[in-house]
Amino acid sequence: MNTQELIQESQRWLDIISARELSPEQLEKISKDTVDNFQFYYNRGYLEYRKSVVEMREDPALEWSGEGSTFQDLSGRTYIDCLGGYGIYSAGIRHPKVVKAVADQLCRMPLSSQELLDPLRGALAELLGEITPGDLQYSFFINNGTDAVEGAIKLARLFTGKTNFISSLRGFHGKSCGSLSLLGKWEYREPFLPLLPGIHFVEFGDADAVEDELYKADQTGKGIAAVIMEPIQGEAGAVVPPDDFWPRIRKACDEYGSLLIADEVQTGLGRTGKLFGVDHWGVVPDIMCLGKAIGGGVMPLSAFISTPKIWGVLETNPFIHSSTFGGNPLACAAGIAAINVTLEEDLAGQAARKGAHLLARLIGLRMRFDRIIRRVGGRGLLLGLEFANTEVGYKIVSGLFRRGVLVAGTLTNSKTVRIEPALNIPDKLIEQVLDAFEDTLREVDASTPDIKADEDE
Amino acid sequence: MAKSIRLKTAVPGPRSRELAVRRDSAVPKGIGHSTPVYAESARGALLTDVDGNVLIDFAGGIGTMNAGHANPEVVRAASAALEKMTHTCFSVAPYEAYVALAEKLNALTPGAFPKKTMLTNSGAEALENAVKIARHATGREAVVVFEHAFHGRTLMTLSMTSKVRPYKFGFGPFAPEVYRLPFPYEYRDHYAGPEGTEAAFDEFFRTQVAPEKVACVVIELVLGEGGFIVAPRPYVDILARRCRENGILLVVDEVQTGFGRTGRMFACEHYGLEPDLMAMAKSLAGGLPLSAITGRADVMDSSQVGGLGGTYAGNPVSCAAALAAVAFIENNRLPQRAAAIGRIVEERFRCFAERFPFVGDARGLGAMRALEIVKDRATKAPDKERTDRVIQKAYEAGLILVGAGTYGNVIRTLMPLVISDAELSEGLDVLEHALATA
Repeated sequence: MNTQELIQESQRWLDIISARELSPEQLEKISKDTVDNFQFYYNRGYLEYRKSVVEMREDPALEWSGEGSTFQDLSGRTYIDCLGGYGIYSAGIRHPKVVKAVADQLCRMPLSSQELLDPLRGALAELLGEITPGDLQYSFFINNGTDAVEGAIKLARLFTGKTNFISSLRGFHGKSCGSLSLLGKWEYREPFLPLLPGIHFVEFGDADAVEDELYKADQTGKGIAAVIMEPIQGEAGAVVPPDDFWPRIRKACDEYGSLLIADEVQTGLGRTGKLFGVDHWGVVPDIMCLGKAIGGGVMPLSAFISTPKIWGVLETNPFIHSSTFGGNPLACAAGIAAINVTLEEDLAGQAARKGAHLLARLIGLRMRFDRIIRRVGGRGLLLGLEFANTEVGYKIVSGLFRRGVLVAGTLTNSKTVRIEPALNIPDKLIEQVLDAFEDTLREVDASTPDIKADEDE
Repeated sequence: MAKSIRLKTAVPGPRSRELAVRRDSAVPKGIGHSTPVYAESARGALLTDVDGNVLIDFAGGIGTMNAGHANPEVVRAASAALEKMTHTCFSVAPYEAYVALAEKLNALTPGAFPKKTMLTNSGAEALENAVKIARHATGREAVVVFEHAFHGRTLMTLSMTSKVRPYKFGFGPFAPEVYRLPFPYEYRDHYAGPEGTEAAFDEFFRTQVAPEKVACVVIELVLGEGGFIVAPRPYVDILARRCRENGILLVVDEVQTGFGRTGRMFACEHYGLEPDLMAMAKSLAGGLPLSAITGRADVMDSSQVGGLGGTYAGNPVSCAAALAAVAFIENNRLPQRAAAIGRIVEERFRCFAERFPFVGDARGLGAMRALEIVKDRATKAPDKERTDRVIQKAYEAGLILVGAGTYGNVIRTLMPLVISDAELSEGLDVLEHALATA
């Protein structure tokens, strides 16, 4: 394209973005263009694996608009969102309070100069200091969960003077090089080795193993800077640890002078039925990482939060860790609104109540279709299902998709899927999701005489 | 000898825990569980849970299983009845099984006078109707009951029930004209001997309610939920005489004591007592819901036509099951078996009382036996916490038990009377170990 054509092409998209209505011809062209653009300019890999394309070869589903717990594709099909970008839509899609806060701020000032003090950053930090447990008080803002983990790694090293970390197998902490070092799945790590040295992996939930690694590191070197865990493992399939796990690793970290990092990126702000995942066990971590839902489902926002004592090492030189876009006023406006909505609508309480109901019903389905569903678990509205194998898992998620229910799961990764609807999802939509599940399970059960369980564990 | 208890998982196992999640979501918190293993099947005195664990059952559905879990004769009779019809409602189109069971209970219950029987669905409903019948027959309103009594959870029977937490708390206001006497609880010195009892009755009728206003006295001769406290014979004699003298009907609640549990078909037989009305339920129909009120024909006939009844009351399948269950209990001499079980348990409980200083009292009648757990034998301070721990420990080792007592400090045995000596002995071993370690 020459310059004139580029201006025309971009203007065409600007018109589409602003259009109130689109003609059938426009819709058809957008659909075709999008597939082409993914193929030639973004990554054709998505076209091979996403069920939104694979299942709808002739008319791939294009995300276009949404509200609350549902969204529409460009062809006008409605989906109940039980995936929510892996937990960003705790308050629902386009929550009016969040949208209004961000829109109002957008009309005033979108980003920050990085020189003048900005009020919203301070306000959000105050609110987070107040709602987080124990003596957690100071926050730093960035844009993605992985940025929060990167910051936590640096802060733990800075404060303890130690280098190494303990993390969990199948734990997920992000895909940038520092956080990827803590991520416990070989698929994402192996091509990028070597990563950070001195990372010790233990089985999630095994407090003995954490104590053991702390002891060994203490006996043989400088020891461990921090133990990092998700309160409930998300990506691994909503795995809840034994009740003594968090209290015991808290105690062990104190004994060995190591910090305890709670990666609450997915569990934070009500998702598991408590405001924070660690609240299930009354444990206060030294550093907490937040992301996803903290942006209110409108803005990218993440944070790491710590205690006055630990924060001291950042105060002598606050520029030792910084971020261009971190804590921008749009994101902070979204964060303030997200906290307001979470508390005002008791999203944690809603998650506890709705999650208990959904979990109970899913267990009921597991008992009826036990050759298809191997495990159901989780807490609040962070629920996970493990299927007998990837193939049958994909049949289920694509069957749900055809019935207008979106859950995670792709052609290569459908053995374990998560269900993470908005925490204020109406009860009747939960019933619709369950009906769709039952219908799909019945169909897959009848059409799949032999189901072989994977022998991978 | 091969053990009966087989634990494949820690209890509750994974499937039971999953069902508990569903239960929590679907069923109100207010319904409790003493041992939350989810049952898959049960035979005799053994229960198999959904994880394949086999447990010995000393609770017997709180005394409904005297003839044993899934008694084959009960199952056969109920299945055959079910094939013929499920329900017609006795108040619409009556059927023989109801009449036959009434005849059977009229003959089986003590008292050589003409009797009649009506059927209902639950123990509480039987007691409700007993009160209605007594009030109608006497034209009086007051009902006298006892401390530590348990008669049910419906409004009238809850008014008659004694224990406040958890049964009554927050469920009032309760029905009026219910008066309460202390139960002669010997272990806690609430029995004053014959002379004291006479004086207590005089005082009661002077300070609480006039005897000529009392329709009936309702008593469990061995308190069930109240902790298996056995009423002394002289006390019952005096009570019966006082009732007779004052035209008060004597209603005996045999819901838990009936059908062989105490070593006789009915607890009344131990006392030579012929009550005016008797309420029965639990083991009557081998586990199907059914209860009965049997009493003096003139009293039972007092009510106007249509004054008594109930849509499901005396359902034909339950009647068939009851006829089979009662026949099984008689033919297999289960009352005598209960007496034998009682002697074995009594002996072991006496040893427990010697070995464990916290066993304050070991008591009971027939196979209805109990241990009262205290913090200190001198003060007799109830120890509910240890009692709960014993039940928990026993359950973890494969023995299902239920507690009892107003203070929650009693362990009671309600094992099916078809239990074998080996199963009984194994269960008692588990209980002893639980007592030793809790």
